[in-house]
Amino acid sequence: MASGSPNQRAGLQTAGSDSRNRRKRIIQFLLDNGLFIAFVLELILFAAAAPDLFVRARTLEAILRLSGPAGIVLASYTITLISGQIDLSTAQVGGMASLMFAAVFQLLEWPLGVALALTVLLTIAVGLLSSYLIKQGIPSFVSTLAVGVVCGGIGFLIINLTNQPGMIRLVRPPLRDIANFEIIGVPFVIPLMFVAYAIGWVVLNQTRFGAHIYAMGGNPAAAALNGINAIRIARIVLVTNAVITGMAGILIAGRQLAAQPGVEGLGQSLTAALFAGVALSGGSGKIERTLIGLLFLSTLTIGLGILNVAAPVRQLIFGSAFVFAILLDSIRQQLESR
Amino acid sequence: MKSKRYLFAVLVLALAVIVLTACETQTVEVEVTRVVDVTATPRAVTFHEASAIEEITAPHQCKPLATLPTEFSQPWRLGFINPNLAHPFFGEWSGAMKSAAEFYGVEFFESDAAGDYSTEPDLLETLLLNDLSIVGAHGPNVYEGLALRALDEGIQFIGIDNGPSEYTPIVYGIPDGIAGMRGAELLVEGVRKRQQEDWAGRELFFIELTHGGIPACVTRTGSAASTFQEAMGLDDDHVLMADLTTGRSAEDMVNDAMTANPEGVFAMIPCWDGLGIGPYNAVAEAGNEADVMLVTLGGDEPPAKFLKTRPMGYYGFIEFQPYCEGWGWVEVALATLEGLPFETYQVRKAITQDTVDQRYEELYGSE
Amino acid sequence: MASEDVILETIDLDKSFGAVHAVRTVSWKVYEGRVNALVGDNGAGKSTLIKLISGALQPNSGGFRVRGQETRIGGPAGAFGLGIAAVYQNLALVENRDVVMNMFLGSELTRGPGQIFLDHKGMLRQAHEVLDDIHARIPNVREMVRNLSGGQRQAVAVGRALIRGGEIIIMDEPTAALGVEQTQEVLQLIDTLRGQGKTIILISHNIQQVFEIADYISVMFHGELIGTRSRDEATEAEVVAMIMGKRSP
Repeated sequence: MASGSPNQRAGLQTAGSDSRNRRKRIIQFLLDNGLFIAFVLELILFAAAAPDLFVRARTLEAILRLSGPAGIVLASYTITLISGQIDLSTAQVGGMASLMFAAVFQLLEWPLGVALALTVLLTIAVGLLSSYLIKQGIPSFVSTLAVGVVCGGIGFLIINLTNQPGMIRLVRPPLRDIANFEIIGVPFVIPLMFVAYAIGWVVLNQTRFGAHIYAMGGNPAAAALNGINAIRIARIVLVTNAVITGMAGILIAGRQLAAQPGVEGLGQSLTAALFAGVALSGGSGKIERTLIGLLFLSTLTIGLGILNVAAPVRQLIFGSAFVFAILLDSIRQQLESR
Repeated sequence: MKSKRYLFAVLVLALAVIVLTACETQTVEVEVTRVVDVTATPRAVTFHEASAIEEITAPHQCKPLATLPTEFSQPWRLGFINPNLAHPFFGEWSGAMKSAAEFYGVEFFESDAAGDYSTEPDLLETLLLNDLSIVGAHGPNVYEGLALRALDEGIQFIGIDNGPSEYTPIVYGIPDGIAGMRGAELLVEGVRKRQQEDWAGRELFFIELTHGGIPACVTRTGSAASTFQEAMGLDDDHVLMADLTTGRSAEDMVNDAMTANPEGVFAMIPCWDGLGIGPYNAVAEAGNEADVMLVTLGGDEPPAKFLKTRPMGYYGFIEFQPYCEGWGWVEVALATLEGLPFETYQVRKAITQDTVDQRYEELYGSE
Repeated sequence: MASEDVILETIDLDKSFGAVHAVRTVSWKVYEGRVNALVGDNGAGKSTLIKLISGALQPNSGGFRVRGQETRIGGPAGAFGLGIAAVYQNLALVENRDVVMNMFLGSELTRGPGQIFLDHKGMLRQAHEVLDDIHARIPNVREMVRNLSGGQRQAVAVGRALIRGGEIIIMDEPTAALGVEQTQEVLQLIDTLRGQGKTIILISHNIQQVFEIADYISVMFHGELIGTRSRDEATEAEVVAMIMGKRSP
C-alpha cells in the first residue's frame, strides 16, 4: 500500500519549491508525451537527413501503408491487453483465417460473402475457445498460446487437405480488388485504420464497457467485487480481437495474393503495444499512444530504409528504441506513483 | 483532456496526408506524359561488346544475356530486394548487381530482407520511394503481391526464381528443370563409376531432397529424379522423396530410408547445397559414408570448400554461378526497360573433385 | 436499548465451509443510525458474517429481516438493492483509475442512445457532492487512486458505498493499515456518516478504537455471537473477556 507521503502539493510551499514544482511538472509533461515528442523528433531527423526523399507526401503515404492492416489489429490488441488479456495467438489466427477464406473462396469458388461468414464464424469459435480456457482459470497467455498452436495446425491441415504448396494463391478478382481498393489515391485500409483507433478511443474512454475493461485489467478482484462480469468482458474482447485479426489476415493475404499459415506482421502486436506503453499486467495504456507508437515504428522502417541502413544495424536500432521506450515508461510510472 | 489533443493531432496528420497524396497523384501524371515524349526521339546507338563483359566479370566470365546500348534512353533506376545479404550465395548476387549497374551506368537501389521473406512487402514500400524504373526480388510465396504492388506504381517486377504469373510475365533465374537434369547427369556419371567398384551388385535407391512449398524446388529436384530414374532404370519404389514440408529434418528422413533398406546404396540430389550436405555429414558420422553419393545444386563457397576436402561420396555440384545470375538480372531488367530482346540464364558449370581446386582458386583465391 | 430501531436482523444464520463451521446460528440485531461494532479474535467468524450480509456469500440456513421485512440477499447486487454496501478491507480500488471512476466502478452513470456513453460530467458532479458531504479531503478527483493516502482511499471507498445508495455501510477493518493521523481521519468519517443517519457495521479488533466510536459492541467467538453490549454499559475488560470466550449472563 502506498501509505507513504501524503500530498506534497497541498502542503507547505516555499518560493524554492515553486520552481522545483515547475521543473517537476515539465519533466512530467515530457515523460507523459515522450512518445509523441520522439515521433516529432524522428520526423525532423529523417527530414534533415534525407530532405528530398523523406519530405514528400509519398513517403508519408508509404508510412501509413506500412501501418496498414496490422495497425487495425493493434488497435483491438491494445484494448485486449488493457483488459488484462495477453493474446499470443494473433499470427496463427490471422494465417488460419486467411487460409480458411482462401480455401472456400479461391479453391471452392464459393461467393465472397459465404467465405467471409465462414471465416468470421471460425474466428469467433477461436475467441470463444480462448475465453473458455481462461474461465477455467488458465492465464490468458497460456490459453492463447495453446489456441495459437491449434490454429497453426488447422492452417497446415487446410494446406494439406487442399494439396497446396505451402500456401494458397489468392487472386480471385473481387477480393483482390477489394483488398487493393483505394479512396482518393490511398488504400482504404489507411482511413479505416484511423477509424478503428477513433472507435477504440470512444469505447475505452466514453463507454461503460471501456471503464470496465480498465477496471478489470487494473484490479480483477476489485472489478468482480463491484459486480463486473470479468469472464463476459474477456469473452467479448478476445472474440473481437480474433475476428479483427482474422479479417486483417484476409486483407494481408489479399494484398500479397497468397494465404499462408502464419502472418508474422500480426504476431508483433504485443511488442508494438508494449512499445507504446501498454502495461503487460493490464489496466493501463492509451490507445492514442499506441497509434503514435505504430506510426513511430513505421516511420523508423521507412526512414532507415531511405537512409539505406544495413539490416543488422536496422534490427539493432529497433531493439534499442524498444529498450529505451520501456525504460522511459517505467520511469514515468515510478514518477506518477510518487 | 490530453487524449483528445492526441487524437486531434493525429486526425490533422491523416487529413494532411490524404490531401497531399491526392495532389501528388496529379504531379505524377504530368511526368508520365513528358517521359513518352523523350522516348519518341530517335538517336544513334552503340552497343557493349560481349568480350568486354566476360573480361570485367572475370573470374566468373559471365556471358551477357542481352546486347545493351552504351547510352540508355533514360537514366534508369533499378531496385532489388535481396533475400539475405549475409548468405554467401545471395551476397554474390548483390556484389554482381552493383558492379553491373556501375558498368552500365545506371542507379541501383537494394534492400536486405535478412532472411525473412515476410518483411519483403514492407521493404518494397521503402524501395519504391526511390522512384524506381523496375524492381525485383527473390521471394517465394510473396512475389505475386510484390509484383502487383509494383504494377500499382506503374513499374514492372522481375523476380529471380519466381513466377511466371499474370503479374510477372518475365521469368528470370536458374532454369530449374535444366539445373536438375544437369545435376542428375553428373550424379549418373559418379554412380556408374562406383558401380564398377564397391557398389557392384548393390541395390540402388535415389533420394530427392526437396521442399514442397517452393515451386522452384519441386521442379528442380523433380527433374533430377526423373532424369536419374530413367538413366539408371530404377523402379518407382526405388525413387524416394524427403520433403521438408512434412516438418521432419532431412537428416532424419535420409536416416529412415537407409534403415529401411540396410543393404541398399543411395544417390541423392537436394534442392540446394546445404540440404544435401547436412544429411551427408550425418550419414558419414554414423559410419555409412560408403553407402551414399551426393551431387548438389548451387555451388557457392561453402560446398566448394567441402568438396576440396574430398569427401568419399560427394561427387560434385552444379555451379549456379550466383555472380553471373546477379549480373544477368541487371541486363534482363535493362533490356526489358529498353524493349530489347534477352536470353535465358544458363547453368554451365559442373564441378567435381577433379576440378574443384582450380575453380576455387579462380573464384576465391588460395586459402 | 429497546427504544432503538432495528434496521437489519439476521435470523439463525448458519454457514459452513466443509468441516469448518464458520457461523453458527447467529441472530444479530443492527441498530439504525448507529455504529454497530463487530469484534472477535481472528477466525471468530466476523468476516464470514459480513460477507453473508453483503451478499458475497450465501448461508446454508437462516435468513434476514431488513426494515422489518423477511428477505434473502441474493448477491452483491441484491444487497445494494436493500441499501447494504460493503467497504472491503482491501477497499477494492483500481490503482490506475482516478477517484471518480473508482467511486462509480460498476455503477457508472450513462447517457445517450441506449445508455452506452459515460456521463462524465454527471459523475464528476456527484462525486464532488458525495465527497463534500463526508468532508473528505481530496483536492483533485481526477487523481489516480494510487497517489492517494490511506485515509483518502477509505473516503473513496465509502463514497462508492454512498453512491450505490448505501444506508447500511459495512466497514471491514478500515484502520488496520493506517497511521495515527489517518486513523483519526477515518474515525471522523465514520462519525460524519452517523451524523447523516447512516447505519455503520464496523469490524475491528482494536478495542480502544471501538470504544471510541461505536454505539453497540457485538462479540463473536468460534462462530457464535455471544453477546451485544451498548458502549455506555460495557467495560473494556468485559468485552476483552467475551472475546476470549467468556460468556457473561
